[in-house]
Amino acid sequence: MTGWRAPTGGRIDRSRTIDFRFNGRAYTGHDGDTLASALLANGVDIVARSFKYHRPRGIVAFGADEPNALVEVGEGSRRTPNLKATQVRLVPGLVARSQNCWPSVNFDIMAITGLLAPFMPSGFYYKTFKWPVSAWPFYERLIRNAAGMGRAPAAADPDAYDSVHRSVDLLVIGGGLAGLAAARAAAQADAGTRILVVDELAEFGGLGTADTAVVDGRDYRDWVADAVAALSAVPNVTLLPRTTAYGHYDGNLVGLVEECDGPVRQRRWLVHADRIVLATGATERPLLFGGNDRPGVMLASAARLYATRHAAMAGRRAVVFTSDDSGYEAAFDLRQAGVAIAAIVDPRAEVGEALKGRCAAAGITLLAAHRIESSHGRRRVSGCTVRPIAGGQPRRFTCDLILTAGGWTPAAQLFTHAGGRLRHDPALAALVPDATSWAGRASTGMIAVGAAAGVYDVAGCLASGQAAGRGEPPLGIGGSEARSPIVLGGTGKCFVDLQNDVTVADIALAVREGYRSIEHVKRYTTLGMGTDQGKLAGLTGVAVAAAAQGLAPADLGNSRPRPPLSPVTFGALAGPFVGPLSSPARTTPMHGWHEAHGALMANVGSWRRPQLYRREAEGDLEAVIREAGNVRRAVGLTDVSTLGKIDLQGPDVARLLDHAYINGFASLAPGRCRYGVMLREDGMVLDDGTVTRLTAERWFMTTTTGNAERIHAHLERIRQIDLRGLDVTITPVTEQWGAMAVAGPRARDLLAALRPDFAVDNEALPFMALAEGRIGDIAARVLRVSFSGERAYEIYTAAGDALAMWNTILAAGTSFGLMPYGTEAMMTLRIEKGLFVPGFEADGRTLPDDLGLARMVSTKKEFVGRRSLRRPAFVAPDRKQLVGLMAVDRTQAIPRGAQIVRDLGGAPPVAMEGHVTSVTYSPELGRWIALALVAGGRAALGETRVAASPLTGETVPVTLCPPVFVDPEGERLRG
Amino acid sequence: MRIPCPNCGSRSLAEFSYGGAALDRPPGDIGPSPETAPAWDDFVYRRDNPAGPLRELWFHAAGCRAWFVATRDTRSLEFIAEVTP
Amino acid sequence: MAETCLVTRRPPLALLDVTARPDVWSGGLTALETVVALSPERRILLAGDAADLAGSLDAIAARGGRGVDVSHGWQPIAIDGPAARSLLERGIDLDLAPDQFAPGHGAATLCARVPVLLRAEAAGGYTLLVATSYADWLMRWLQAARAAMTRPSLSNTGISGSQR
Repeated sequence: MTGWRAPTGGRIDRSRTIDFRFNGRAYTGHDGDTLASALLANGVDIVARSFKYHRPRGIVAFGADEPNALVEVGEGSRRTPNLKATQVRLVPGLVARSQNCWPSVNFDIMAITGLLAPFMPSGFYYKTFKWPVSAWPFYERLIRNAAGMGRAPAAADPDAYDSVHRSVDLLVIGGGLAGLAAARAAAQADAGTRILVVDELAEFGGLGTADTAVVDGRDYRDWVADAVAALSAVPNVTLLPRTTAYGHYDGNLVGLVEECDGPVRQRRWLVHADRIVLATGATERPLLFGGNDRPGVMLASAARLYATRHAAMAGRRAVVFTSDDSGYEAAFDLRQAGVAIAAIVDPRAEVGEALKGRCAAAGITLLAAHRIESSHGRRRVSGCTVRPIAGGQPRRFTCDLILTAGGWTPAAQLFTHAGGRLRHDPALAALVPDATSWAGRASTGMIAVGAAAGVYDVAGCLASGQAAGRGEPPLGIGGSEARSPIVLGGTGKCFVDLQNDVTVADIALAVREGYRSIEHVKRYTTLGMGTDQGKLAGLTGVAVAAAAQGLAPADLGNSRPRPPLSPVTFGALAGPFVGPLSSPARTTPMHGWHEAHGALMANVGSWRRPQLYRREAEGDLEAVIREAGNVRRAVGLTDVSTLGKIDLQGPDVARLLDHAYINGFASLAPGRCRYGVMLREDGMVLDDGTVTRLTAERWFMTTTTGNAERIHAHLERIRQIDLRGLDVTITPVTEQWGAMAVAGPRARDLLAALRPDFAVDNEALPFMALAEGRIGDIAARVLRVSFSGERAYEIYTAAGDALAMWNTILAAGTSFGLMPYGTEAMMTLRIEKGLFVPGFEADGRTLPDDLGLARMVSTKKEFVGRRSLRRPAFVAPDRKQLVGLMAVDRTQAIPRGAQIVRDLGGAPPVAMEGHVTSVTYSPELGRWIALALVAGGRAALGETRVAASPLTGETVPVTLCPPVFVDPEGERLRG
Repeated sequence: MRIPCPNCGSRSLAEFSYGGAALDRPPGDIGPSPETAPAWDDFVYRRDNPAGPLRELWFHAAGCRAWFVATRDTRSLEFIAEVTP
Repeated sequence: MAETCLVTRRPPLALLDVTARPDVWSGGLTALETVVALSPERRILLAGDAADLAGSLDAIAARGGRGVDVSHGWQPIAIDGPAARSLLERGIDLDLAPDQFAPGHGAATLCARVPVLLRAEAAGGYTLLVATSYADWLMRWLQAARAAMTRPSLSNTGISGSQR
């Protein structure tokens, strides 16, 4: 228990005390605290257990960089796992728990894996869990229970999430010194510029500039307040605190997530920006030594920020291990705040005279050219051993806090998302954004400013931000003295990636095993693959891997960060698209009627369609049999409004149709309909439909429901590209028309009973003809076409009239035995007639001849796909051809999707001769029937095969027969 | 991702359908022959995979319903030019 | 203080989908108002008198255009109120700033992944014409998005964005 709250200082509101619970214990903090600062102030040492070895861990960093302190916050349906305690705002009633430990974070049984550590180096799982093979299901359960961090809540998320699209002229990511300077300069240059400034913290000002720094002659905090006030006053500027940019995508699209209070929990912004200024600051690097994961080891800048912002002191007595001058500033600030500094250990040989003088004045022991070799302590740092770099006698210090400062790395992940390159700057020993990345690109790239560009001094940050805001070319980085390389080791376990328990030894092992590229090292060791995405570990890992191969870090490069840069919740990505709104649903004009009359609705693509209409004391299969049987015996009514419909006008429509379909249309007379089949250019059947010629130059095409948009695009492509110059106008009218089919032997009588103002006898309205006029007072277009094989009429009305027409037909239909029927009965009827459907028989691998359509293929004209039909493989006699199947035992059902094999003898692999494409119980035949594609099927009619379904364990002997089971001559259609 | 439609300007990818590489359809003839067959098979099955500008067909399905040819650099993923055919 | 917006279904409009060559359009094909100019060839027009749609179509045909009645293909939804643009930002990925999408401007696009025609009206509101089969679903989506809307960029430092 070494952390404590300083009696004064910090930017917390001490008058507002907040109660919270951590791991079941009650604590208090103040308004303005994060969970991390409050835990430090309460002296909590162990906050988490590490992923693999379950080692006790404390807080290491200040904000989004934190690798260790992952906690679960909230309870019930609002429980959120894997939050960084450093980013959790302390609010009254907060409940948080450690993860990955049992029974408690202070005593975790799984720490026993630490003893097994020698057997669990990186990549151990590639070499274990292999024998015996049969034990894998057991291993899998073990691994699943042991792996993973955090528990997802089991209940549905009760919160709402919002989603906004926004276009801006300038997006500034990061509201620190450089970012605010950029925004102000841009607003001053042109007050009409639409600017969006985002920062992940609740207050603007960032983390990189000390409150006491002097900017433009004022204290930094005053400068920030002025900048924020000035920007807030500009109408075209939006400031978004608590907003994280998680990814940059093509076309300068940036994804942001804003934390909200109120009716929504988070809001995702998708921002299109003409220009982007990246002012995301820099991350401090740790230095390595043995036992550098012990609670009490922290980044120097983090300890400084906890002290200055929250008055939360991480310990009482610190050793500062720093290879960067900024570490000294942290030491001096902490000493002023009441932390004793036992020593400053600096691996550099030369330390500036000014710094030496300040150390002496403060009474701080300074050990140049030294490094920390290892930390000591049981559950918390209690001391460390220091040794000269060149070798020599060790010195031991007593301390409860070890602060490391290894230099700064620009937080440039978004720069690489955008496709920018990083270059290694030897002076900074870091990768910085390369401003020349965008040379030769059409669009303005992202400009990095301030610490994100490797500029670490106040004047430089201010200048680089202002230049970028004004749209000037980026300033170069001023040269500074070369910094020493990162120190790479110590005695005992040196952790490189704290979250994933990756040590220096692991990386060395990976290199020894032949993984040389940094991308391979990353994936083999899981370095940088945690929720912190290697913010602290990345460059250090590169240096270790490079050293193991005798290379310089610049030669090895860096693994490429990709979106998201920090975790994004599914809620934020889904926005309002959840539950019934998760994807658009299309309904027909009769939808309300279907739902009110017992329809079992199903999704067919985006459409909601009735499968069948339930009646009391009737199962679903019985309903389908009843509905289909009624169509064949009396008359049925079904909703076909979902069919694709296209209006075609002009003198060249027939030419367009001839090019699109395998059969010809020029000869189609006005008032007549013709069935057509379209192919893709590779010869495979694409779609089928009905074309009606209304007048010489006005035509009406229908397509299958699922292909409506595709066929429209296809026709436009022919018109605009393949056959340019055709005088044709194509207009999609799927939505304009509702449609219903009246089908069955009594269909004509029913149609006549509706008293249309046109004749409907067989001569006036024969099969494949059109009639237009009014039925009652509703204008209607009637096509005598049939999908059921019975006498049938498709009645098209304006969508707004369709329900009235439907009701009119139902009312008149009672005396004819009319029943509505759904898509299941529709399928039964068409399977009985051997009619193919795209997606079942026409699955993209079937040619016209495979489906028995060879006679439809014109030899007199060019059409889409014609030239593919002559390919040798496409005329082979053993191609899979459409046939019908009947079970030899007439009471047996034929399994859906079954494979067709010759017989059940013989050892695997058994030759598969085809598959079942559609199955139904046939009310007409009183048995199960199917359609199938079988190799050489047409020559094998009458033979038996076996329909085998290993998934369900069924094998059913079947006989091959012609695919048309009912009325093969088509007499019912034409009568 | 945004796509620059010649009629409507820069619009979201969701408004478009992709039409593949912008190749010329080999001229039609009634009888396929060994001479013309390779050109047809190339058109149907073979595509270049350049690291650089690629001419592609896009259809603005949710907008103006126009097909156009856009040139896009496959390395930077930027659109360079677009024309209605 | 949350700004308001209203989402209301409106009665169907008489609409024509008309195609003609650009020179035919500029030569005065019709006096009917344009809802959206999809392309140089193609426009959605507002036919004032629903009863005489056929007459309008004939007149257009006589002057070299071709039209189709699509009055039943689009369902009008009125979006009004100070927060109208804010609501549309939830579902539409277009730059709706007044100088980019001024009153009278129209576009065919997607709202919540659904095909729509969007028009900015003179009084500051919008008309959204949604493809008929999607209309019920989109109304529910708009209500949910409206419920989720608050004034953007609230923070505990009191910074609020002001532009719309």
